[in-house]
Amino acid sequence: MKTLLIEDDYYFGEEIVGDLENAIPSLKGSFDIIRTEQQFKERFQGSEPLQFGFIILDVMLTWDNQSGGRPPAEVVKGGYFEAGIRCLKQLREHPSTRSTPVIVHSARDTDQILQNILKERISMDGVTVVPKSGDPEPLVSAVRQLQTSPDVS
Amino acid sequence: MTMELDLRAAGSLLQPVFAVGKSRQISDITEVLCSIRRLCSADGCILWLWTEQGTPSNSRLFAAAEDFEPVNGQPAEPLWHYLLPDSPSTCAVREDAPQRFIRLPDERFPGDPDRQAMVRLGIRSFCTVPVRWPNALPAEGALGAVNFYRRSEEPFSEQEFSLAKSLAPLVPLLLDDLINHASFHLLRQIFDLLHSPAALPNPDLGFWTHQVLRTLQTVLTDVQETFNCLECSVYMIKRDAADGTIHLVSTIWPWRHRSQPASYAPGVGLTGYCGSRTTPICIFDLGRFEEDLPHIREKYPDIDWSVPFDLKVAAREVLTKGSGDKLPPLSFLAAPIVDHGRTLGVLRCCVARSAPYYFNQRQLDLLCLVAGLIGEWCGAYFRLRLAQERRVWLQSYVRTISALNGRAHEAAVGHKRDFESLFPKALEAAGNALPEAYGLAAHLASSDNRTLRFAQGSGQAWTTISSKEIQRRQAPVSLAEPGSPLVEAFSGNTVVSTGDLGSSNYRLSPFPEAAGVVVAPISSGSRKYGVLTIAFAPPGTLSEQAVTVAELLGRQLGLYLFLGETITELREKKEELERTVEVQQQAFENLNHQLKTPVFLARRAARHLMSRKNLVDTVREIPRLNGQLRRAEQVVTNIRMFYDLARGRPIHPNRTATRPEKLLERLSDTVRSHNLFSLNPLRGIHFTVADESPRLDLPNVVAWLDLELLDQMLDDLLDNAEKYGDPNTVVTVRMGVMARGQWLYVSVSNYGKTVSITSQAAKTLAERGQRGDTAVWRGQEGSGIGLYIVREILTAHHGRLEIYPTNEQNITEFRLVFPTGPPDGSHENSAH
Repeated sequence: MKTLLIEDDYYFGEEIVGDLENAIPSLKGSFDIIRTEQQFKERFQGSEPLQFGFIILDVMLTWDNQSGGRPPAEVVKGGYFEAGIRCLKQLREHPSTRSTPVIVHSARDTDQILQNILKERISMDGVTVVPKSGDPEPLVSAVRQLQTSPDVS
Repeated sequence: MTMELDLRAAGSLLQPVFAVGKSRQISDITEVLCSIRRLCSADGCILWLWTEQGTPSNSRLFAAAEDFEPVNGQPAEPLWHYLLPDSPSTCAVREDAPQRFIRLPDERFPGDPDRQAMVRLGIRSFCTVPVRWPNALPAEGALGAVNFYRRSEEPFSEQEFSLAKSLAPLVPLLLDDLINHASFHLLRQIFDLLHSPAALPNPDLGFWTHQVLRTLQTVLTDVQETFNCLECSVYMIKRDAADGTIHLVSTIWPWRHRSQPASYAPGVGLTGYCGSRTTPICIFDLGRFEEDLPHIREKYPDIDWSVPFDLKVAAREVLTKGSGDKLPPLSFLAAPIVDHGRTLGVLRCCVARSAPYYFNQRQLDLLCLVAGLIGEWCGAYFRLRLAQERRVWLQSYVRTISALNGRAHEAAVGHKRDFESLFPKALEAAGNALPEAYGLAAHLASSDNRTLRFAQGSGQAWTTISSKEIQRRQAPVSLAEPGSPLVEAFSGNTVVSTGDLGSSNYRLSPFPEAAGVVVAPISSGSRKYGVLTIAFAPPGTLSEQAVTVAELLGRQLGLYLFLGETITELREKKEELERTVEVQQQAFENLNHQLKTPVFLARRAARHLMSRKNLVDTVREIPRLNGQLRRAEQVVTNIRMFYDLARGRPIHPNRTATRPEKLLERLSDTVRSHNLFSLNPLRGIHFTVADESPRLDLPNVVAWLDLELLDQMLDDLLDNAEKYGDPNTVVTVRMGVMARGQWLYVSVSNYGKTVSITSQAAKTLAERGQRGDTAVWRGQEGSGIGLYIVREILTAHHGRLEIYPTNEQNITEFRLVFPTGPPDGSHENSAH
């Protein structure tokens, strides 16, 4: 089963993959990385099956449309601070990822993130918020916990 | 016999004198004649009077009052006729000497019109005595005559004739006294009535209420009793009627089966003429209307006789006596009811029911006095009512304005800007407060202050014209139009009122038919928004409070507009503040994020270093650790500078003399560092220093720079170039000089068409919190303070940041420009 990592910082992305592959060998080679909100939208715009064991989601994501063109109004209005929340909403609306566990991994304030999720009326079922830090352990623990959960195969 | 007769006469004379003393009616003159008749043992007695002052023009004697002994128990038929010149009585008056006729008819007067009547009444002889008014001069001649008739064959004796000659002159004296008594009594009666508590005006009951009508009816009854007239009526001008037509308000009118004219237009008929000309009218005999018309026309010119009314027929039906022309004089009196020079209506009466059969100047004077009392009473009533109505209107106006203020408050609380929507209610309130106003309009100045555009209209003036006319009247008014009250009021920010617009250009404005106008500025303090116009149609006049209401309303509307303007301004400022706060929050969040990421990664790198076993891995981690620390340092420096600048603390560069080759070396180090550790290696951005650098052929060029700050600026520019440049492109750093070595520059050029900078954006890009439009909507990470700090650092160096918008080759260039030479500030104002 693939693991989806949505992270716009190249180095942090590498760190997360390295830390998790080292700590949980079963995840080695399973990472599918999305680096911008625009890539995410393109990936999830259809209803084709997208099966992931779990998803790690950064909140502050750029749109970064290299082909030019104006992004959707909600992106222009909401900006890149709320990009992860928009992605989470779409994940919960997509038939393939409606119940996939999501770890929201961000340097932003946790309370602020939770507030924004509630404001968008997104279910918190299967959503874990893990703050970014210099210590990889909290994220590794959160993933381990998912690994032991019966819902994650 | 003579003594006995004199005593009898003296005793009997007291009777009529006493009767006159108690009498309140002029018709009691008949009683006087009766007493005198008996004293002279006559069967009949008639007071003949000359018609006065030429009405009718062919002056003649007419029977003013008469008394006859009944014949066979039946009252004698009244004579009611005129004496033409060829009669015994006429002869006596003409000759101004008493006459006695032994046998009638007298053959000396073959044309005597009384002949038939005298035969019918069985009169055989009579004597006639000419009479004068009391205090009349001898030159004034006879006023008329008193005739004494006898049916018996025995003619008047010499003594009886002497007695008649003695008593007859008393008749005018007593008649005069009667009139005086009756007049004083009537005036006192009406005065008491109109000043009684029951007749005191009570506007709470409304006008023309039962109370008022009953009072007027009582006045008319009193007048009728005194004048012994058949008809007595009051006509009044309606308060809101502009045409001056008078309408019947109260009447004593016995012709129940005939309709009395309910109204008279100005100048129409004697009544309309009296009302419109404020002229008392006295007509001796309307029964001889055709004969007398030339004289009436001469005396009262321009009467409009378009309303037919045959008084003679009506009088005959009512009197039910007389036949053919056998009617008493159908006298007519009309007096204007005036209050303080303003005509309110007409009081009129006509046709005597019994003797005296005429109305003359004395009665007209009395009627004018009664009309004066009515005028005074009605005037007081009108003024009181008007004052109360105005109080009610003003209260209503104040209440409406209060309600409008409430709405304005709600609008203000709800942050609505459209305060012009309150105008219709405000104008309606003013219209209610000024019922004489027939048109209101509000004009607002155009943004260029060249015209006044129509904003709102109200009042009757807008409901009586076609839609095309409305459109025409709503045309803008040029503020260059000379003589317009609108322009004058707006330009001078003052109230302009005028009652005569005949010669003004104002006829082109909304109310061309206006007789008067008040124009008040719609303003708040010195801020002018437009004008409010209140117009009055002819014959409307400006009331005292019109100017006050207009001025108050103008200020009120001005205040609303000012409120709307202020709210708009505050709202915009609030939005701007919110935007600033949002930008600052985002900047903070961004910096927080930008700082946390390298710190977290540095910690992780340090952790890796500590856990590495072999040297190769360790060495590989070092650039990464260095890069993250450099990123963190860059963010921290930006935060510190932003913080200092936000609090007004200037940047103090630590400048050192730097030659081009030294500078180039520094640039190369920075570029190398960015190549080793780029923000996102996946984007494939490569950094390079252009080949044409350095300019070693510029040995004399020395720039005084803070190299640490130069690194900071360059890092910011290179980061931007990497973020916004197209993937797999090259970012070029150049160094050069401008203005023959006076300026040294370092430029960073990136290639990219997806994030371009327009010439417009280039002007504001270095403002705090500003980012390129396409960068914003592309959702790029960035606080928007990088370029701001770069600009401030350059300013501290007396240099400048030049941004060259994306050109046709999709190259965007940022140029850091420094002055060369010692830092004495001499370059600050130099040209490029």
